[in-house]
Amino acid sequence: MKFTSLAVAGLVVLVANGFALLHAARNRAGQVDAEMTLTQRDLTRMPDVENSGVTLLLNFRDRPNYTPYGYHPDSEDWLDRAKLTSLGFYCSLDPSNESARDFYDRQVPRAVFVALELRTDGLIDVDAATKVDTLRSRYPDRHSVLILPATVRITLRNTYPNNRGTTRISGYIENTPRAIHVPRPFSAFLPPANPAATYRIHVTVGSLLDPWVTGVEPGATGTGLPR
Amino acid sequence: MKTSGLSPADAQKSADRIRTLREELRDPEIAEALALTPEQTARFDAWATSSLTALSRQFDIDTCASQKRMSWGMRIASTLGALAICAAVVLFFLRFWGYLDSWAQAAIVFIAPFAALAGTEYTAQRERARYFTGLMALVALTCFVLNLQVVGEIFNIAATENALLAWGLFGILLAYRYGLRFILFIALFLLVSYGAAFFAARLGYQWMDFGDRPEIAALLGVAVFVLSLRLRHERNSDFPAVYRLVGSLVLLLSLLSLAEWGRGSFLPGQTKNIELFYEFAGLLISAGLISLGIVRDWIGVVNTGAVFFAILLFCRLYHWLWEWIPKYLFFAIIGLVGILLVAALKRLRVQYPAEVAA
Repeated sequence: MKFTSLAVAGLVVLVANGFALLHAARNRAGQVDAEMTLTQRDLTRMPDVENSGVTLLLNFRDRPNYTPYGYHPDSEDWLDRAKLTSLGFYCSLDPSNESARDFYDRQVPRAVFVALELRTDGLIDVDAATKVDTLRSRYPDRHSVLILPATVRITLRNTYPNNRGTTRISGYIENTPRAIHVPRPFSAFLPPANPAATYRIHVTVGSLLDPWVTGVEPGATGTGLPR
Repeated sequence: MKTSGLSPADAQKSADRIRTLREELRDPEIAEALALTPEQTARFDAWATSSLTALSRQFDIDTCASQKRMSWGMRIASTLGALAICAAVVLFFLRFWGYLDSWAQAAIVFIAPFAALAGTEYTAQRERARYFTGLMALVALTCFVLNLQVVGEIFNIAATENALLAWGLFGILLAYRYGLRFILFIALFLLVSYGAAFFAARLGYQWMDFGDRPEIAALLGVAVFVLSLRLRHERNSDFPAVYRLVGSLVLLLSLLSLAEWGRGSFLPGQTKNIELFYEFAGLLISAGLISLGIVRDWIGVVNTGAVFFAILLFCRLYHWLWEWIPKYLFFAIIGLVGILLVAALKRLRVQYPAEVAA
């Protein structure tokens, strides 16, 4: 009895670690969701002299329609009214209504899955859905499309030029997990953080969508797209 | 004097009362009014000395004013020292973990909380004042935070709110086992954050965005405050004050946030009206907390209420006047309101002993 609370504290540590390791094992034991080769353009090494661990930051471009002056009306914005409705947002109110800003900005964001496609100019978000299977059936190529959890928020955007054009319903993606740890021995092959350094990283994404590094090719160039 | 069954906080209160009484009895005016005989005075002195010695032997409490001042210094020094050691532990690990294989990294961070727990227990058995025990407990909690953080990073596991629950429970267990108020304060904040993150995640938010819906945290703040009235703390009689402090801080911070950013509210209606509603609700609740604190003699609640009342009032005046009047006049009005507040509190302070006497 004297050491009960101490034993329970130890048990909390054990159980928490047990859950984390079980999660990692399930992720790696299940069906692989994607196997991709990315480059220094898609996975950047951040310089940190105080941290000897190697963590890469996943870079992807948001929809290619944003300009410093607002959203270009002619650009490709797949996160439109129809897509946002399919993700569960309420889009009934006309964006020109005077209370529309309040109506859309106060809506609860949705937990979704986002598809990132590897193109010649880098990773770019191309679609979102509430279920992984739905998204994977739309993008079956596991070597060029990465699926990750994210959240989508709905908002109103003013279109080009200078935010004075028409207002339209749009959304934005956030909270995508972006850090990927590189363990030994792979971290030893990776060149130090340097804008000129080139490398390729082989990444596997497990059944629970947690990625891990399976190989590093220092000095390699190219897009990482399958030939 | 019976010292069994007393908590360290109760023992300190008893010692303070005895010390104050002894000092008062030495005052010539009081001595004259009481007209104690030399035998009675000597008997009281002997009783006071033996009681203070017994309390001091069992609880390592402060028996004079200079000891008390030193204790505060030691508490501040040990807390700052603990924070610095925690930072050192984390930075030391980060500096070298890259040279280890994943299994070694995971093993080190898994063993670290157990080693720190053992150190905390060892220290607690060798000291009564809990300075080093508090330091070691904070290191143990930091090691556990580092443990889950590193395991998550090694396996690239997407962060979840469940880690907050594990850290909060671990902190609560340490706080209650060793009677540590600072650890309880941290643990309660972790558990409130977990509760808010849990409900936010069920609403569709990413759990880390729980601050977007401050009403959830406000309700949890009320729950923590009410817990201070419901839970019995015989061994740790100074813990309810920590519950009240955390509860009132969470509640008032949430109200302040809603008053400034009404879009996060669940209430229907225009954002401006919601912000106005929460501004006045915040003012009323902080005034209510000041009054409740005065009646119940809860100093922490009075101070927290007063600070938030002033901040909310400042915000209201800012929204009303900043755009409309010259800046010097705005600050003059703020100063005037501050003076009026002090006058009102002074009046309350004068009234209160009269009510107690009545």
